[in-house]
Order: sequence, then structure tokens, then C-alpha cells
Amino acid sequence: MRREELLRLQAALVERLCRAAGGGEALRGIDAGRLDLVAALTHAKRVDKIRSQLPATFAALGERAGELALRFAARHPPLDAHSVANALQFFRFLARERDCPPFLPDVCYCEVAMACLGARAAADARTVSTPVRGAVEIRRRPGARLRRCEYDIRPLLAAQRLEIEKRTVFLVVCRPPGSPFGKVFEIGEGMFEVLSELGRWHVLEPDDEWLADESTLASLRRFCELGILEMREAATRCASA
Amino acid sequence: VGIGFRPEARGALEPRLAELDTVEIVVDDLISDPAQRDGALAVCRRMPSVAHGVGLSIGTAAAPDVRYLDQVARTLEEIGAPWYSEHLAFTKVPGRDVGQLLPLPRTPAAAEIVAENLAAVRRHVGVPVALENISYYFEYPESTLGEAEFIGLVLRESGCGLLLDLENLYLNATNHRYEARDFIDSLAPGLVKGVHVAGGVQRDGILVDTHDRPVPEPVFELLDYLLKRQAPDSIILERDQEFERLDEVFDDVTRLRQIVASNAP
Repeated sequence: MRREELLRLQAALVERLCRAAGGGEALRGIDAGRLDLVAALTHAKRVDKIRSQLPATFAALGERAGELALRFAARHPPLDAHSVANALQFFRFLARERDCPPFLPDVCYCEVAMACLGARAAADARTVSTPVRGAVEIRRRPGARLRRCEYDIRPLLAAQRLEIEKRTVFLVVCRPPGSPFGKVFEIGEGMFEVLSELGRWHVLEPDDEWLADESTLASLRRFCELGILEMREAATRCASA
Repeated sequence: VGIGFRPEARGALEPRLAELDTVEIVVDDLISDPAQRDGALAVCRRMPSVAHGVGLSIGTAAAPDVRYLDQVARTLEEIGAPWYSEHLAFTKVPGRDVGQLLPLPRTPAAAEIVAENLAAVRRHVGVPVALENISYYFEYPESTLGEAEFIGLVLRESGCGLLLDLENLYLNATNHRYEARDFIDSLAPGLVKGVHVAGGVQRDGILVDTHDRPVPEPVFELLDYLLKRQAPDSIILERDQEFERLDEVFDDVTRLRQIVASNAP
């Protein structure tokens, strides 16, 4: 059995396990019942990985989770073994599903954003020191995500409680430096708009009203501490995050 | 005697690390989850550790992933691992990764392919490599060798040691109707570098490896039998779920220690 021949056999087996069917001639002679068992174990393991990243999403799906997970697996074979990659695939699948609770896409989006943040390498969040002497650059921290939601999904995200209130909330998903996990905070609409504009470095001159006002500067620093923003001195371009 | 470190159980495990001689670190946890890296490395600094992998897919009939091996090599250096173990299995083919350990057809040609892949791995990682026997639930009609014969051939051709998973041996022997002690008897002296034990479940009359139950009595008996013939560096209890029942895990650790003590020279 040469490499190409073995690889063909392995590809047929993987296809059979992913789709609970197929495999064709290459798998002739292998006990179909045992292949079904391995397919079931493989599927259960994958769903466990996704559930570990998306607990609130699965709580909201309730009894429908099993049926949806089967349809998901049939359409989206695993491209990667990592749990975050599989959670991302599941999010994309759910986004096209009808008959899901209206708040579910927001819940799943926030959970995937938290999972992606958790999987990023930890980095220092350096901010400029006080007082600010020159121009600074400011931007939303890479990986921090903004989401306008028509429902307040935070109780579901925090404790898998299905206490969803219909009201518009503006959320930011971030990872505070030093924390292994992503977190979700509610912010005001005005700050949401500001943060939306800060996807790239933005220069603040020394006379900018944000830098001149101590309370605004303190808020910016607080956002840096939470991993939402990062600031650096424009002149030195010191590394941050 | 030690346990497999799982980042999600770190909070519960850390206060009890002093009850262990060693921990086994899964290198893939550190590679795929940098957020957990510092915590795992802190544990490695506190006590001796051994390194285990789940993402190599050494049995895939394609060249090993060099980028992944670079990450493994860096991680092994950080951990200070004396050796590195992986599974005699495949989990992926180009474009698909099922994350499930799958067996190979037991043929001399497949053994040769694995040995070639292992040569590349050994050049990369810089520490001795051990291969673990997996649990398997079906047979390929192409297989011409017995399980022990195939594993022995791969290890001879590759120069690797054996990480003997006694739970896998127990359930394979039960599911495929052979004598586990004959398997142990067939192993060359000094071949077993490390041991894994765990607990599984029975499903539709088939024993399944789940790593979420206490170690069953027959596995303890196999360990006792093994230690009269081999001298592994480490015995690791693997638990992947149900961490809220951590006392069960440490009860099993106590039992492992008793068996080791009763076989001390």
C-alpha cells in the first residue's frame, strides 16, 4: 500500500465519518455498524467542542440543538480540529437558519467574538502616561468587537438565563489584559459611534478636547484597561498590543 | 504518578498538585490557546512534566505539517519536557480534520509510512518520541498484522518508545476479543516509556474510551501485571470531563501509588 493509496482510503473514511454516509468502494469490508459508532463519537466530540465555546447559544437553542447540530455537520465538515474554528463554522451556519429566536445571531456573535479573543496571544496594553505631553494615537483594540442588539442578551451570555428583554443595547466584546477570557460590556450609543470610527489609528493632537478634558481622558484610559482601546504616543510610535 | 493537566480544570487542580509527582501537558492546549499558556507553564515550573500531543496525525499518508512541528518544538522547549508522545493514529487528511483518533490498516507498508513520518518529527522536536496505542472500533480488511505485531514493527522501524494506554488496551482486548496480557508479554523489555490509564463506558455492548469515569478494576490489574515486566518513567491518569468529581480522580491516583509501591524493587 503506497502513500497515495493509503491517503485515498483515509480520505474516504473521513468523508464517511463527516457525512454519516459515502466512502464507497474504498471502505468495502469495514463493519458499517462500527463506522456508524465512530461517526457518532466523532460528531459528539465536535458538538461538545462547539458547545464549550457557545454555551449561551446552546442554552437558547434548547431541545433544537441536537437536530440543528446534525444538519450543521451534514453541511459543514470539520476543516480544523480546534473548538474556536468549529464554533465559527457553527455561527455561519446559524446565521442562515430560519426559525431561530430573533436574538440568537447576536448571542452567537458575541460568544464567537469572546472565543476568538480568548484564543489570541496575550499582549501588553500600553497606554500613554499622565500627563499627556504630545499628540497620541488611539484605536479600537484588534479583536474588540461592537454589536448593536435589539434585545438585551447579557443575562443569557452571563449565566445562560433566558431572561431576554426587548430593548436596544450597544455592546462591546473585549478581553481585558491579563484575563484569559473575552468579556461583554454595555456602552452608550454615543461611545458606540465613537468606537465604530476607531477601527484604525486616529491621531489626537495635544489641544484635542478629548485630551484636554481629564474625565474624558480617564474614560479612555479605563477603556484601555478593559482591552477596548489602545493609545500610544504619536511621536515615539511605542509598540502596543 | 500524575494526571493529565486540563486548562479548564486548572482552578480545581492547582490546590492539589502537591499530591502528584508529575503532570502531563497537552502541547496542543498551549499552541491553540495562548490565553492558557501562562497558566500551564506556571504548573510546569512547579513540578516535573511530560508532554503529550493530539494534533500531529502521524498516520496521515502525507508529510507532517512543518509549521505545526515548529510550534511543538518551541512548546517542548518551554515546558522542558524530557520526551514527547503522540498517538499511533490519524485524525486528518488535507482539507478535513475530524479531531478523532482513527486507526491505520495494520500492514508493513503503513508501518513504513508512519516510520518515515516519525523520522521527520524526530528531526524537528529534538527530544525522544513515544507513540501511544489508541482505542479502535473497526477493522480494515487490508490488515495483515495483529495489533501488537503492528505496533512493535512501527516502534522498531522508527526507534520510538511506547506510551501504553492500559485503558485502550483493556477495551480493545475486550471489544476485539484478545488477551491483554499476551499483548503486554509481547513487548520488548524497556519499550514502555510511559503509561496512561483512564475510565470509559459501555455503549451497545462495546466499551468506549471516554476519559470521564473512574479507572476500572481490570485496568488496575493490567498495571500491576505490566509493572512486573516494564519500568515506565511516568503513569498518567487522564480525565477530560466531569472535573467536579475530582475526588474520584485523586482516589484513583492513590490506588495507582499503591500498585507502584507494591511493585517497587
